[in-house]
Amino acid sequence: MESVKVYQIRELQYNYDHLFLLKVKKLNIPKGKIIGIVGPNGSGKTTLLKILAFLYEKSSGELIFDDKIIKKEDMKKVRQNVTMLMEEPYLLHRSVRNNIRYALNLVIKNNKSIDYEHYLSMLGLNSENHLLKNYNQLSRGESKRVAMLMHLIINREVLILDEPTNNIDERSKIYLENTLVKLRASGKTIIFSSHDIMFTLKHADTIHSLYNGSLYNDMLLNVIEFNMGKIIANFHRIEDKDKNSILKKQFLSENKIVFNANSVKYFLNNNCKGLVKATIASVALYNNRCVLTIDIEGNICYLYYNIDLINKNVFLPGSDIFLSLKENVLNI
Amino acid sequence: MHYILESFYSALVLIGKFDLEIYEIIFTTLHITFYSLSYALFFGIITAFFLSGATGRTGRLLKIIFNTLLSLPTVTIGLLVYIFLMQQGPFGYLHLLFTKKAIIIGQTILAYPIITSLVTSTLENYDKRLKEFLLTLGVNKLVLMRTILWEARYGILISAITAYGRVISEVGTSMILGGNIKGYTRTLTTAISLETSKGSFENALALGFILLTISLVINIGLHFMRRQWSQ
Repeated sequence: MESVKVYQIRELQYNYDHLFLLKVKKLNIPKGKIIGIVGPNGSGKTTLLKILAFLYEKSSGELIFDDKIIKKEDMKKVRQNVTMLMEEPYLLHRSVRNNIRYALNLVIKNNKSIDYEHYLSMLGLNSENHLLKNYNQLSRGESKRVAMLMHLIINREVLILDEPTNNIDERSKIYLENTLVKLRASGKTIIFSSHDIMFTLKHADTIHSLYNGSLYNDMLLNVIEFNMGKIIANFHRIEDKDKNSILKKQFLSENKIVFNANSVKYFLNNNCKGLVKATIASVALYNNRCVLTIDIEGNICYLYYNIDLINKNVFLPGSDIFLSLKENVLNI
Repeated sequence: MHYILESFYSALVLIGKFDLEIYEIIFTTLHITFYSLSYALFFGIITAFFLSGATGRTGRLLKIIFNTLLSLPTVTIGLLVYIFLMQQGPFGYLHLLFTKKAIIIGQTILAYPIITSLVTSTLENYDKRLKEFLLTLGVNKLVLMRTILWEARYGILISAITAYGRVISEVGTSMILGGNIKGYTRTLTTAISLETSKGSFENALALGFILLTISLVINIGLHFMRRQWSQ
């Protein structure tokens, strides 16, 4: 049976001052699922999320929410079903208590007896240390958690999170992860963008990649760029010590290699021609996926496989793996 | 120099004597400036809220007009309002000329563009994340407006202080529209003007000193209000 879709996008385009910013050919977001969107800086992640939160109006194309085509005049009404936590969230210039009260008053009028401890504990905060603090006395991680709490209080069908793991410590991340698990269980649809590939692979049911303003469905893209004798991979600039590397030789005509991380054909022995050698840096099992962090000539890339497909092989960190990259390379 | 010091001394004696006439002038000044600032704040903030969101050509034109009105001479306002309120004018039947209400109208017109222009600038330059944050919380337009204004309260307070400074120190509008009637429309500035022309410098100085003190007290009050808000 086909799942119920919250969002359906067809040929959507967003321009700002005649400048092309975003293009989404097709995107379906099913109800009750967690969707992860990854991509380098400036690829259009926040723009896409703001369109989904009905903060930005699309320039052209079709955006359907709950089976209804959304026009400009519907945005205000339909926004009531969605809430979005920004990358650098704004907190009202008042105490934590008054911020929480503000959010509660939006859903329950004249709420006199508020159990602040209950709400604060949802994200690992407590009344003793946080309740009476002013907004400017909080750390960035604490501010983010208070803002997240406000978005949780208003309890919308869809929760959009822009870079939720940015600027937060590991402890805060655990609370965020626990919250995502609870929200998934309660049937909420969650859409988030992140640079944290491991976090995305761990929590997202489906991953989409944005690259240069275009969306690639069901793909996690690794990008290796050759630039003036240097390689930029996964958005980290690393010196290319050996210009005659296998990678460069193999993709001599290209300035960059973009390949999908999902199901790259691999060999544990270098028994075929044209394979790219990589070293396994780490192995993890997340969300029914086996995630390999690999090192290709000093560039950290990610691969993931459905757990059923790899259960006969043993991946050891530090050992070599040989990849047939060409099949997964995208011409973009 | 000796004469100036003597005048200062006389001014302090005058204040210390609790002269009823002086207290009447102070009360009239506070009464008029309170109402004119309140009305200017009310209309100015509403106008600023809409102007700050206006990005079209009309919005830009209105902003230029309001910025130009910042340098509107008080005598010009006095004259224009006078024409409207005099017996032969369109609102002559209201018999407002030479009343406190006439001065309030004139001073409101004086303060309105100041409040509008400064609050518009405050709202335009305020953290852009606030509006998006409130929209994603699903607030209605009224709550959105109320919250943004409260968040931008420091800027609005500064606008109010600036406008109050202009209103309490103006003489042209009060003189033309109020007529400087003793015990009725005589304000601190019109009284200073009168005393100076009479040559009673000690009285003029005493009134000037009181005017400065009122400004100081109000500014200290607003300063503490701001400190209280920021805690």
